[in-house]
Amino acid sequence: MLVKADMSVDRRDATKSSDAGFATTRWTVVLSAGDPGSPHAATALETLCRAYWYPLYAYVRRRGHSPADAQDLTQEFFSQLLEHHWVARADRHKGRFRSFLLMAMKRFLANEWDKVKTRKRGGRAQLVPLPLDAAETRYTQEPVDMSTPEQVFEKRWAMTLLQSVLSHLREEYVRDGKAVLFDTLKPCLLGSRELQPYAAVAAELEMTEGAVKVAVCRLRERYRGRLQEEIAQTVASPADVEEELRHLFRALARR
Amino acid sequence: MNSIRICSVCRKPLAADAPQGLCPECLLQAGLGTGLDIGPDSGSQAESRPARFVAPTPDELAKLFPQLEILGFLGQGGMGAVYRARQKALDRVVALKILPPGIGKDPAFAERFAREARAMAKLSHPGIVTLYEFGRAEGLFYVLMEFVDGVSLRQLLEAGRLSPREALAIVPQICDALQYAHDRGIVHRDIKPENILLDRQGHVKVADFGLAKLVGAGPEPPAAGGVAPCSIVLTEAGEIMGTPQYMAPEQVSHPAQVDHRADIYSLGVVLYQMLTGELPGKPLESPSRKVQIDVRLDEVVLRTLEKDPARRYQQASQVKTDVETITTTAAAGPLRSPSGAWNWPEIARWSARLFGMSLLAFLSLILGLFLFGVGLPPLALQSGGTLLNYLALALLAGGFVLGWKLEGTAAVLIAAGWTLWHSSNGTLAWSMFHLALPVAALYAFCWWATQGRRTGVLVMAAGILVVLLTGGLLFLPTNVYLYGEVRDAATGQPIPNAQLIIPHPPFSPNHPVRSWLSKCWWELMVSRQPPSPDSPESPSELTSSSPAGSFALRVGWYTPDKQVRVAAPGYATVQMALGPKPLGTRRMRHNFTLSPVADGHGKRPD
Repeated sequence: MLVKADMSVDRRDATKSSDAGFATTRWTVVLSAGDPGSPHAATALETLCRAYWYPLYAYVRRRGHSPADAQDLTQEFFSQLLEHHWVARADRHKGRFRSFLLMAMKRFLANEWDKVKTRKRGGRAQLVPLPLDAAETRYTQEPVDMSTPEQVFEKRWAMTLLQSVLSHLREEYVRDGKAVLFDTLKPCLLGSRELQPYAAVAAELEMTEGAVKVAVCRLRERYRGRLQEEIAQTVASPADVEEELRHLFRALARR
Repeated sequence: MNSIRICSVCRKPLAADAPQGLCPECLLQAGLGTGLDIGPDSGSQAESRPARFVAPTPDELAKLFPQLEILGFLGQGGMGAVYRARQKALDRVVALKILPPGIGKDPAFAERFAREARAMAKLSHPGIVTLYEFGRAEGLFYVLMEFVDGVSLRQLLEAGRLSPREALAIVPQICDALQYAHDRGIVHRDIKPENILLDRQGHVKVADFGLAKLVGAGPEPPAAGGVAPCSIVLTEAGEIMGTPQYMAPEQVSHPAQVDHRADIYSLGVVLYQMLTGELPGKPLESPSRKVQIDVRLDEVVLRTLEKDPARRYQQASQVKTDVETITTTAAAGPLRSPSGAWNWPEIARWSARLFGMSLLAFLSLILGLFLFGVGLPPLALQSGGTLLNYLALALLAGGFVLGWKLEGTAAVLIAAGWTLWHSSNGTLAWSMFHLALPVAALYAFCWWATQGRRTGVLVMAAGILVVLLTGGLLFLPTNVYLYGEVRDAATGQPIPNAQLIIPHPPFSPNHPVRSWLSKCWWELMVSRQPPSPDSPESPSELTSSSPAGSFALRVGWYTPDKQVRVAAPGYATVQMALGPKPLGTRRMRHNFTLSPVADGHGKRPD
């Protein structure tokens, strides 16, 4: 006896998270704001910019601009981004904040920078205060390589993301009074679950091996949760999170 | 800084700004998922386990496989990534599976891979995904296999539960495939819904035979060199980390002693999930407790899920035989299953049979007695309805008889007969045949419970019946009423208490048995006052006019040649034929005028 299978099931459905909860991530707030000037969207965009300005700075420097120019450029770019509501123009790249930002910066460099360059430096009110003084120090510490500016941008993006995720994760543990636990367990985030040095860690923390396994399991879960959350803040739909993650992995792996 | 730190996992140098001192690549890789919380991937030929590597894009693959046209990416799991491709030379669509790159580091792997692939290639069975080719392209091990255009069982389970009937149609096909492979000494080791595919014709195809052993999806000891297998199966302290849901207990505890019976266990888990929608839990509940299914299935499922392989089914073909026996033989069984649950379908079945047979016996008795006498019983309470009445009774009788075996059909027949009877009689007055409707309902429940959740047919049948009933009431000439007034022809005054009768063809008053039977028939079928013994005629309808002279006479089944007789003391009796009636009319108006009788027959009212 044959069974008629129901062929309406979509083969490529990605894991679905509830869209209701997703609408509140920052990039979707920015994209879906009817009035680009609305305070809700502006705050979201500001937060995003404040988190991810450094990769843009690195990009600009890699393009060949001097440190002083790069600082001005970055500052100016963000001011104009927030003032002139460039998000409305971003239809092709509406999926990801990362690609939107890069496109906007390229466009800015091509068109606007010439006009702004002639204006007097400094003296403009900063809409988004960025810690640009420390930027150069950070930039010089990066390893020298032959990457294109875009590759630099993406690598820095990935690093920024990871740093943010880990520092927030650490904060959580510190709040719970488990800073030492986090610092000892954090190497267990990497690699396969079986190959962790559970016995050694257990000895160091004076816990049972079983308890260590549980703690590591929980840490890995929370890490993954946070990572996906942070990525979700910069993409437009739940389906994009995994794709973005893969993209960033490939960006880092290209060395 | 002079020293360069190296990541212990991937052995690449760590940058100075590595977040929290951890290698960013490994961090992202960890983010791609290594744990319990990733749900199953879709893609009909991809597995459920989370990715441990980044799958190459179709463009990257196209360079490695010039003989293939990569059509698309299907999905990814721990055992590799699957793509849809076309063999250019042969012009056929195939599935290309790339194994995780880390796998090839063990030199002995290539040989094991070749050996496994040859064994898999010997499996040529309609229920098994055929292996076409295997090899290595730039360090990537790949397998070329049959492309199955359809869905996986996992996708079906997620879309909505399968009905028991469909589940029991899938299982024998899986058993066939398993038995074929077991006969050739090949154990699958990883039977789960993602590996069971269904093509567009509903044929089952089992995928990834033998690959599990190869890729180390079972808890094999790592190959020499300490490289752990790629897929993650949590093996330590099962209670803490989570048990792989489809693996037999011996696969976890004594992996070296695993044989083909592990596949049977996995099949049991899949079957349990198909029937109940859930995985078997820690206190194992029999499926019939969770879902309305044949209780005999409990035994089959529980036996496949035996922890001790020796107590399990020893052959997949045995499972198939038992399952097929259950599906083909009508679900008989005890009224109360061994686990204590009431077997409602069985109870419904026997109640329906009991009532149905009683009604059938009664019907046969009456009809037989009449036939034994002379002619057919005066079924037509209103003569025009004879044919329909007989048809209705035939449907009822047919339903009662068929109900012993064919419950669904019986339900429909009985309900149709009941509807037709009442439509054609134009009455919903209480009659014994109202009992027929619960009988139909019981058979319908029985059928629904054992056949599954496809109530579409029943709903359709119910709909048809509703239409019939309503249509009957509207268009069949039933339930017609005659309204009007009775007046004196001379004075024009209304005549109260005039009697209006529609006479009915007489019963045979002279035959005692038949007249007794007629009385019984009349009482039970229609529940009206039986005709009084001294009246030679048995009117079908009778009414008197009100003090104002108006009347409402129920005609019932309308035929134009029926007569209405109006009589009042002191007046000449009038008899007239009803005449033609417009279609769909239920109310006819007619005023009768009676001429007073001058002498003899009646008294003139004062």
